[in-house]
Amino acid sequence: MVVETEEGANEHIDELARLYLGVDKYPFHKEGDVRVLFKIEPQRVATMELTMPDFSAST
Amino acid sequence: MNIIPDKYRDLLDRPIVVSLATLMNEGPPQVQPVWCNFDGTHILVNTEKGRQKYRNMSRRPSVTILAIDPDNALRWLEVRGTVAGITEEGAFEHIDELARLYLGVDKYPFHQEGDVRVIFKIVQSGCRDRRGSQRAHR
Repeated sequence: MVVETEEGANEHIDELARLYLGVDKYPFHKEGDVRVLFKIEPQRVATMELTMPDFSAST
Repeated sequence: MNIIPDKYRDLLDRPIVVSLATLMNEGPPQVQPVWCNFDGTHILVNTEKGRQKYRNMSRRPSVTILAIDPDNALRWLEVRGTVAGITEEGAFEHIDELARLYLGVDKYPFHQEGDVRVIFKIVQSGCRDRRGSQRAHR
Protein backbone atom coordinates (compact mmCIF):
# COMPACT_ATOMS: atom_id res chain seq x y z
CA MET A 1 0.00 0.00 0.00
CA VAL A 2 1.25 3.47 -0.87
CA VAL A 3 0.21 6.62 0.97
CA GLU A 4 1.03 10.02 -0.48
CA THR A 5 1.11 13.14 1.67
CA GLU A 6 2.64 16.61 1.76
CA GLU A 7 2.28 16.75 5.52
CA GLY A 8 5.64 16.67 7.25
CA ALA A 9 7.46 16.22 3.94
CA ASN A 10 9.77 19.21 4.48
CA GLU A 11 10.70 18.03 7.97
CA HIS A 12 11.23 14.55 6.59
CA ILE A 13 13.69 15.63 3.89
CA ASP A 14 15.66 17.54 6.55
CA GLU A 15 15.71 14.38 8.65
CA LEU A 16 17.07 12.44 5.68
CA ALA A 17 19.65 15.18 5.03
CA ARG A 18 20.81 14.76 8.64
CA LEU A 19 21.10 11.03 8.13
CA TYR A 20 22.68 11.07 4.66
CA LEU A 21 24.70 14.29 4.69
CA GLY A 22 25.08 15.15 8.37
CA VAL A 23 23.53 18.57 7.92
CA ASP A 24 20.41 20.06 9.52
CA LYS A 25 18.77 21.37 6.38
CA TYR A 26 18.27 19.72 3.01
CA PRO A 27 20.64 21.81 0.86
CA PHE A 28 18.99 21.37 -2.55
CA HIS A 29 15.65 22.94 -1.80
CA LYS A 30 14.46 25.48 -4.34
CA GLU A 31 11.87 28.22 -3.88
CA GLY A 32 8.49 26.87 -4.83
CA ASP A 33 9.39 23.17 -4.57
CA VAL A 34 6.55 21.18 -3.11
CA ARG A 35 7.82 18.09 -1.37
CA VAL A 36 5.81 14.94 -1.06
CA LEU A 37 6.21 11.96 1.19
CA PHE A 38 5.42 8.48 -0.11
CA LYS A 39 4.89 5.85 2.53
CA ILE A 40 5.52 2.41 1.11
CA GLU A 41 4.52 -0.66 2.97
CA PRO A 42 6.84 -3.59 2.21
CA GLN A 43 4.92 -6.52 0.76
CA ARG A 44 7.70 -8.84 -0.24
CA VAL A 45 11.36 -8.89 0.63
CA ALA A 46 14.25 -10.76 -0.97
CA THR A 47 17.76 -10.98 0.39
CA MET A 48 20.97 -12.70 -0.57
CA GLU A 49 24.40 -12.99 0.92
CA LEU A 50 27.20 -14.92 -0.67
CA THR A 51 30.63 -15.05 0.81
CA MET A 52 33.25 -13.94 -1.64
CA PRO A 53 35.66 -16.83 -2.33
CA ASP A 54 39.18 -16.33 -1.03
CA PHE A 55 41.01 -15.80 -4.30
CA SER A 56 44.40 -15.34 -2.65
CA ALA A 57 44.42 -18.96 -1.43
CA SER A 58 44.48 -20.42 -4.95
CA THR A 59 47.58 -18.57 -6.11
CA MET B 1 22.86 4.73 -31.89
CA ASN B 2 24.82 5.45 -28.75
CA ILE B 3 23.10 8.09 -26.66
CA ILE B 4 25.14 7.60 -23.51
CA PRO B 5 27.02 10.85 -22.81
CA ASP B 6 30.80 10.42 -22.94
CA LYS B 7 30.97 12.23 -19.62
CA TYR B 8 29.10 9.38 -17.94
CA ARG B 9 30.41 6.45 -19.94
CA ASP B 10 32.81 5.56 -17.10
CA LEU B 11 29.80 4.53 -15.00
CA LEU B 12 29.28 1.61 -17.41
CA ASP B 13 32.97 0.88 -17.99
CA ARG B 14 34.06 0.71 -14.37
CA PRO B 15 33.25 -2.35 -12.24
CA ILE B 16 30.19 -0.75 -10.68
CA VAL B 17 27.39 -3.04 -9.57
CA VAL B 18 24.37 -1.49 -11.27
CA SER B 19 20.68 -1.82 -10.49
CA LEU B 20 18.62 -3.54 -13.16
CA ALA B 21 14.85 -3.04 -13.09
CA THR B 22 12.74 -5.53 -15.01
CA LEU B 23 8.99 -5.97 -15.22
CA MET B 24 7.23 -8.84 -13.55
CA ASN B 25 4.27 -10.35 -15.33
CA GLU B 26 2.13 -8.23 -13.08
CA GLY B 27 2.70 -6.26 -9.93
CA PRO B 28 5.73 -4.20 -9.01
CA PRO B 29 8.99 -4.14 -10.98
CA GLN B 30 11.87 -6.31 -9.83
CA VAL B 31 15.21 -4.60 -9.16
CA GLN B 32 18.44 -6.51 -8.77
CA PRO B 33 22.13 -5.71 -8.55
CA VAL B 34 24.01 -6.95 -11.62
CA TRP B 35 27.33 -6.77 -13.37
CA CYS B 36 27.27 -5.29 -16.84
CA ASN B 37 29.46 -3.86 -19.56
CA PHE B 38 28.92 -1.63 -22.56
CA ASP B 39 30.14 -2.57 -26.05
CA GLY B 40 29.52 0.86 -27.55
CA THR B 41 26.06 -0.11 -28.78
CA HIS B 42 24.54 -2.45 -26.24
CA ILE B 43 24.68 -2.83 -22.51
CA LEU B 44 25.37 -6.49 -21.84
CA VAL B 45 23.88 -8.26 -18.84
CA ASN B 46 24.71 -11.88 -18.16
CA THR B 47 22.38 -14.13 -16.21
CA GLU B 48 21.46 -17.74 -15.73
CA LYS B 49 18.60 -19.21 -17.67
CA GLY B 50 15.48 -19.59 -15.55
CA ARG B 51 16.19 -16.79 -13.09
CA GLN B 52 13.42 -14.28 -12.39
CA LYS B 53 15.16 -11.56 -14.38
CA TYR B 54 15.60 -13.97 -17.27
CA ARG B 55 11.89 -14.71 -17.27
CA ASN B 56 11.00 -11.05 -16.89
CA MET B 57 13.24 -9.81 -19.72
CA SER B 58 12.19 -12.67 -22.00
CA ARG B 59 8.53 -11.79 -21.59
CA ARG B 60 8.68 -8.03 -21.24
CA PRO B 61 11.76 -6.44 -22.83
CA SER B 62 11.52 -3.00 -21.19
CA VAL B 63 14.33 -2.49 -18.68
CA THR B 64 16.03 0.32 -16.80
CA ILE B 65 19.59 0.36 -15.52
CA LEU B 66 20.82 2.73 -12.83
CA ALA B 67 24.54 3.19 -12.25
CA ILE B 68 25.53 5.31 -9.25
CA ASP B 69 29.08 6.61 -8.96
CA PRO B 70 30.47 4.88 -5.85
CA ASP B 71 32.62 7.96 -5.22
CA ASN B 72 29.72 10.43 -5.41
CA ALA B 73 26.12 9.31 -5.02
CA LEU B 74 24.96 12.59 -6.55
CA ARG B 75 26.47 11.50 -9.86
CA TRP B 76 24.55 8.79 -11.66
CA LEU B 77 23.31 7.56 -14.99
CA GLU B 78 19.91 6.07 -15.70
CA VAL B 79 19.47 4.19 -18.93
CA ARG B 80 16.08 3.08 -20.13
CA GLY B 81 16.18 0.47 -22.79
CA THR B 82 14.88 -2.54 -24.58
CA VAL B 83 16.22 -6.06 -24.88
CA ALA B 84 17.44 -6.25 -28.47
CA GLY B 85 18.84 -9.77 -28.31
CA ILE B 86 19.16 -12.83 -26.11
CA THR B 87 21.94 -15.32 -26.77
CA GLU B 88 23.73 -18.23 -25.16
CA GLU B 89 26.61 -17.81 -27.59
CA GLY B 90 29.72 -16.53 -25.86
CA ALA B 91 27.87 -16.24 -22.54
CA PHE B 92 30.43 -18.25 -20.56
CA GLU B 93 33.31 -16.24 -21.99
CA HIS B 94 31.38 -13.09 -21.21
CA ILE B 95 30.76 -13.95 -17.55
CA ASP B 96 34.48 -14.73 -17.19
CA GLU B 97 35.24 -11.34 -18.75
CA LEU B 98 32.94 -9.69 -16.20
CA ALA B 99 34.58 -11.70 -13.39
CA ARG B 100 37.96 -10.33 -14.54
CA LEU B 101 36.57 -6.81 -14.51
CA TYR B 102 34.62 -7.04 -11.26
CA LEU B 103 36.63 -9.52 -9.22
CA GLY B 104 40.03 -9.55 -10.89
CA VAL B 105 39.91 -13.32 -11.42
CA ASP B 106 40.05 -15.31 -14.66
CA LYS B 107 37.05 -17.56 -14.05
CA TYR B 108 33.59 -16.73 -12.76
CA PRO B 109 33.73 -18.44 -9.35
CA PHE B 110 30.01 -19.08 -8.78
CA HIS B 111 29.33 -21.37 -11.72
CA GLN B 112 27.41 -24.53 -10.90
CA GLU B 113 27.18 -27.71 -12.94
CA GLY B 114 24.22 -27.48 -15.29
CA ASP B 115 23.92 -23.69 -15.26
CA VAL B 116 23.02 -22.29 -18.65
CA ARG B 117 24.23 -18.72 -19.02
CA VAL B 118 22.63 -16.14 -21.26
CA ILE B 119 23.62 -12.67 -22.47
CA PHE B 120 20.94 -10.00 -22.72
CA LYS B 121 21.84 -7.22 -25.13
CA ILE B 122 20.11 -4.04 -24.11
CA VAL B 123 19.76 -1.15 -26.49
CA GLN B 124 19.17 2.30 -25.04
CA SER B 125 15.94 4.10 -25.72
CA GLY B 126 16.38 6.92 -23.26
CA CYS B 127 19.01 8.14 -20.94
CA ARG B 128 19.38 10.80 -18.32
CA ASP B 129 21.93 11.96 -15.85
CA ARG B 130 21.24 13.62 -12.55
CA ARG B 131 20.34 16.97 -14.05
CA GLY B 132 18.28 15.42 -16.82
CA SER B 133 20.43 17.43 -19.18
CA GLN B 134 20.83 14.74 -21.79
CA ARG B 135 17.81 12.90 -22.97
CA ALA B 136 16.88 11.04 -26.07
CA HIS B 137 14.00 8.85 -26.97
CA ARG B 138 13.59 6.62 -29.91
